[in-house]
Amino acid sequence: MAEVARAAKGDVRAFEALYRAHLPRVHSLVRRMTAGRDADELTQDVFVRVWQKLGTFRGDSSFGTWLHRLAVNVVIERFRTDQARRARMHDGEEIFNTIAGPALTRDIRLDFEAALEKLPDGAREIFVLHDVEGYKHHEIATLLEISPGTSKAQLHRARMMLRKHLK
Amino acid sequence: MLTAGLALALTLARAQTPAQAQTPPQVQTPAARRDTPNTDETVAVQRGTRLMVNNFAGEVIIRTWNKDQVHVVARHQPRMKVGIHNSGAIVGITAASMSGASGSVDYEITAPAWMPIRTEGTYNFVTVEGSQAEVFANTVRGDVTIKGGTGSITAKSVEGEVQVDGARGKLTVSSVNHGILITNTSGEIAADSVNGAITMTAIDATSVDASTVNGTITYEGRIADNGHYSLETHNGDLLLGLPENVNATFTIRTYRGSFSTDFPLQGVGQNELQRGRRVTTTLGTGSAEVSLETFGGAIRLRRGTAPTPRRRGGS
Amino acid sequence: MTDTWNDRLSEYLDDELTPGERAALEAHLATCRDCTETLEELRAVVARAGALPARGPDADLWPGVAERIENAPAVIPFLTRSRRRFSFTLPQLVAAGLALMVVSGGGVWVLNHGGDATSGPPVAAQAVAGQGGAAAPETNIVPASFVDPRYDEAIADLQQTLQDGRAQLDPQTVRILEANLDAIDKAIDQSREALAKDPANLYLHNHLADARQRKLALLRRAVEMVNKG
Repeated sequence: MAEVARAAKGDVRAFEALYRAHLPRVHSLVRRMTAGRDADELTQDVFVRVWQKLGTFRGDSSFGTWLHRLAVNVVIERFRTDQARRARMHDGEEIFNTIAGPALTRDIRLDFEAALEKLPDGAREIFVLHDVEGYKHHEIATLLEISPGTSKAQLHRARMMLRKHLK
Repeated sequence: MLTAGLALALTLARAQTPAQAQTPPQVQTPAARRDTPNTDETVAVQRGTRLMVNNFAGEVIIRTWNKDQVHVVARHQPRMKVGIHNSGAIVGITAASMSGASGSVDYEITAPAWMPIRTEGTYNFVTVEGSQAEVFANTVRGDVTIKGGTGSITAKSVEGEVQVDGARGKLTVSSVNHGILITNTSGEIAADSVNGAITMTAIDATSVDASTVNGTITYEGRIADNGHYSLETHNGDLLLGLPENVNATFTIRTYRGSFSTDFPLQGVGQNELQRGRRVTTTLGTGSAEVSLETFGGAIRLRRGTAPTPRRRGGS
Repeated sequence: MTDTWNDRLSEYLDDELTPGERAALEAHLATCRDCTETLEELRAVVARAGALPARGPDADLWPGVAERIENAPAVIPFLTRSRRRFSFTLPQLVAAGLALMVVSGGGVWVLNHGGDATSGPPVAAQAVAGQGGAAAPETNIVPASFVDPRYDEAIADLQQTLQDGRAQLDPQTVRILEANLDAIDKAIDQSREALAKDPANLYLHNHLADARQRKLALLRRAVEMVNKG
C-alpha cells in the first residue's frame, strides 16, 4: 500500500490517513479489551507504537492485520503491569450476579456491548480476542501467558454470561 | 534492436525544430484514412511476452483474440516506417521518420488476450478492448478507452477523456483536464483529476480513492463490508448513490460546503458540519469506511441512483 | 447441578472436540433440550460478536498522537545515515515555516508541509548536525528555511524549468497545463484565506498541504513531458 510506504518514510500526513482509516477498529478493540478504562490513551499508545515500528512492516500480512496485532500487544503489555492480572483469570461465579439486567433500549447492540464491558476482566479479554477479533486459543494462550485450557474455559464462561443479554 | 528502434524514434522526436514541436501532427482516425495499410505483419509469440507500443501521434486500437500471435496493421505517411521487434520477452512496436518531422501512425493491433499491454505516446488516442491481462496506457493529448483488463490497469491522459469499462483488478486512472468514466468495474480504484469530473457507476470495489480539485465525483455502486472509500475534492461536489442496506461508517468533512441525504443518518446537520469539523455517522453495522471531504462543494448521498451533477460554469 | 456436556458446548461450537467426543455430544443433544437451547444461544452470542461494529472515539485523538510522534521519528531500518530522512509534524513545520528540498538526479522537487507562518530557525539543519556527531555531507536531503515568498520561489524554480522547455510542448498543451495549475492555485488561495481566519484548523492545514502536493505533482508531470521531448 503506497500510503504505508510513504508513512514508513516519515510522511506524517500519510500516517494520519492510516490512523484515520484504522482508528475505529483499533479503538473498538482497545475499548472492549479494557472495558473502556484508559481506552483513549491506550489507543494513542497503539498508534505511536505503529509509527515507531512502521519500518519493520514486511508486507507478508495485510497492514490491517499487522497493525491489529501490534494493538493487541500494546494492550496486553499494559495488562502485564497490573499485578492483579493473574487473579482475573480466576473470578468466582458470584460475578454473574453483579451484571445488570438488559436495559430496555431499541438498539440491541448497545445492550450486548454494555454487557461485554461488565464481564470479568479475563473472560472479557479472551472473548474479545477469540470471538470478536478471531484469535485462536493457542495464540491467546501465548499472548496472555495462560494455558489453552484456561482460554477455552474463560471463553465458555464469557459466552454463557453474555447469552443472558440477548434476551 | 528494440532499444535502437526506440532510441531512433526518440532522437527524431527531439530533433524537431521548435516550430515543428509547437504544431502537433494531423491525427486522422483509421476511418478517415481509406488508403491501403502500409504495414500488415503478424508475429508469433509465446505466453509471458508483453506488448509495448510507443506512438508519438495517432490512434492505437488494440483488440484481442485467442491466438498466440500479434497482428499489426498500420497506416501512415510514406516517410514513416514501422518497426516490430520481438525479443521474446517483449514485442515492441515503434515508428520512425525516414526524413523530416515525425508523423502520425494509426495502429490496429490484435494481440492474445493473455498478453500484458503498454502504450505510451504524446498525441495518442488509445483504445484497448478485451484484454484479460494488465493494461497500461499513457498519453498527453488523446482519449484513453479501456474495455476489459485484469490485474493492474493504468490509464492516464493530460488532456483527454479516460474511460474504463469492465475492468477487474487494481485500477489507476488520471486525467488532468477532462473527465474520467469508470463503469462495470470491480477491485480497487484510484482516480485523480484536476478539473475533470470522475464518474463511477456499477462499481463493485473494495477500495476507492478518488480526488479532484474542481471536478464532481459521482459514485454509484456497492459498498463492500470492511471496504475503504475516500472521495475528496476542493470545490467539486460528491454525489453518491448507494444500496439501501449499506453497512458503512461515514466520516464527513467540509469547510463551507453542504450535506444532504435521504438515508437516516444522525448528527450531520449544518451545525455539526462547520469549518472542517470531522463528523462520523453510521449505517448498518458500519463495517466499511467511507470518507467524504469537500472544501466548498456539496455532498449528496442518495439511495439507489446518484444525484445528477449541478450545472457549473467551466467544470 | 449443571450437565457435564454443558461445559463442552463452546468447544463443540468451535469444532475443537475429537471425533469421538463430538459424536457423544451430538447423541446427548438429541435427548437434551436444555443443552440444545444453550447451544443455540451460544451460537447467537458468537454471531453477535462477529457483527459488532467498529466505532471510533468521541474525542479527536490525533493531536495527541501527532505531538508524541514528533518526538519519535519513524524507525527506518537498514538505511545508512547518508540516506536517512527526517520527518516533522505539520504543526512543527508550520511553526518553523519549513520546507524540505530534495535534490535527486537532475530535478529539484520540493516537498512542503507548511510555509504560511513567520520565519523561524532552520530546525532541520540542527537535527542533521546533531545526529550521531558525524557530518552528513552525502545526505540528499537539504533542509532549508522558507517563509511563504520563498516557497513560491521554490515552486518558481520548477515553473522556470517548464518555461524553458515549453517550446517542446504544443501551445494547446501548455494552455491546458496553465489552466489547471491556475485551478490548483485558486484552491491554495482559498485554503490560505480560510486558514488566516482560522489558523488552528487542522482540516485546513491538511487541505492546504494536499493542494500544494497536487501542484507539485502536476508540475513534475509537466516537466517529465518536457524531458520526453
